[in-house]
Amino acid sequence: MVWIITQQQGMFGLMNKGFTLIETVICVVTITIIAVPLYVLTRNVLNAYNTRNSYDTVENLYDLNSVKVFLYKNYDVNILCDLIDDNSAKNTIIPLYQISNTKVTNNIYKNFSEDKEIFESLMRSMGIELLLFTSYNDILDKYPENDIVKKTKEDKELENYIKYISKDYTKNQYMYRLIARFNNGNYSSINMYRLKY
Amino acid sequence: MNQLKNTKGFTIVELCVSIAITAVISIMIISLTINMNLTLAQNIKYKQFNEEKIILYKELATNFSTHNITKIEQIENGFSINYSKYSLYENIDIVKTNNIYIDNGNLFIDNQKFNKTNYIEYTGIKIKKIVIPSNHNNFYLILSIEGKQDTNSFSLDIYYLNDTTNLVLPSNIEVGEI
Repeated sequence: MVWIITQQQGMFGLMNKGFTLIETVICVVTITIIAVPLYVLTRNVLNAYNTRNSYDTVENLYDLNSVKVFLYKNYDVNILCDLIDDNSAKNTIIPLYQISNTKVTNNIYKNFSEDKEIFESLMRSMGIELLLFTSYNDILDKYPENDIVKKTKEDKELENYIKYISKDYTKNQYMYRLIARFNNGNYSSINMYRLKY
Repeated sequence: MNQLKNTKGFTIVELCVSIAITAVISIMIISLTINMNLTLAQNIKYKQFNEEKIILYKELATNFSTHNITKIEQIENGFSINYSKYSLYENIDIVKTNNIYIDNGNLFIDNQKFNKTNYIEYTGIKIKKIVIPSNHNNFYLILSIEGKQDTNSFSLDIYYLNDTTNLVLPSNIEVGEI
């Protein structure tokens, strides 16, 4: 229609020449320059928002608290604290339980026992597929050469979550963290502490 | 260079290309804005429901997961749960009872009412007994509050991991073996 109008020297006789190609290109480029960063920025905000929604949900925190109660009742948590505090071992992350390709790795209970069965059934009913016991601060930075830390950094979602919770820099030598990934992709963590006898 | 000094206006191809580029960018921005609005609207519902979940956990989990359950009885549309906890201060067993039931889509914990709303409706209460296969004397309980959230269903699970050896359970508690 515009093409026909311009061919006929404009609707009101005002568009004698129309835009040149260079004017059109400048116009399109300007719109693109304004719109693309706007799109990218909004997309990033939306993605970050959705990611944060999958962190520390009420149900996941409650489930993890039940695991915490179970461990304090049925396991000597100080063994895990000793492993983290032993500077020569250079550990900041201890994997406790993991399901990968239906293979279950249980480092808490290696031998058959009733506690092992209850622990694994709890993990299954809560949908926990990865459970880690970690130091409170500097989880990824203290010993970057550690194999488990390197493996953790390969999992970008897990790395992002650890960076997210590490923003709290309260230094407390008696505090540790229990971190879990659930089978719906959610992450959650809860504070642990050393028992004093 | 002659083409750039077009004295007749656009060719139809130039017009189509520029309209197409502008249209694609506009559609991307419009769809993103709609998506964002939907997410924010959903978030308002999610936050309201979250607050209710926190109160529910506080009301139920404190008794259900930390006290010794002595007896569970079936009542109409729910359960009556008896707890006991030894008080070192008074040297006596403190006994508590929670009646949890659903009436017309509303959830009641004793006299406290959790209203059904336009998007949340409570549909059931279950107590599941998870039995450890190698030893049938060992089990743990899950108190499950079920409901509908818009078109999705949800369930809030509260775990009881205390000593269950002398616990009396009604026969119709759902048994789930692992």
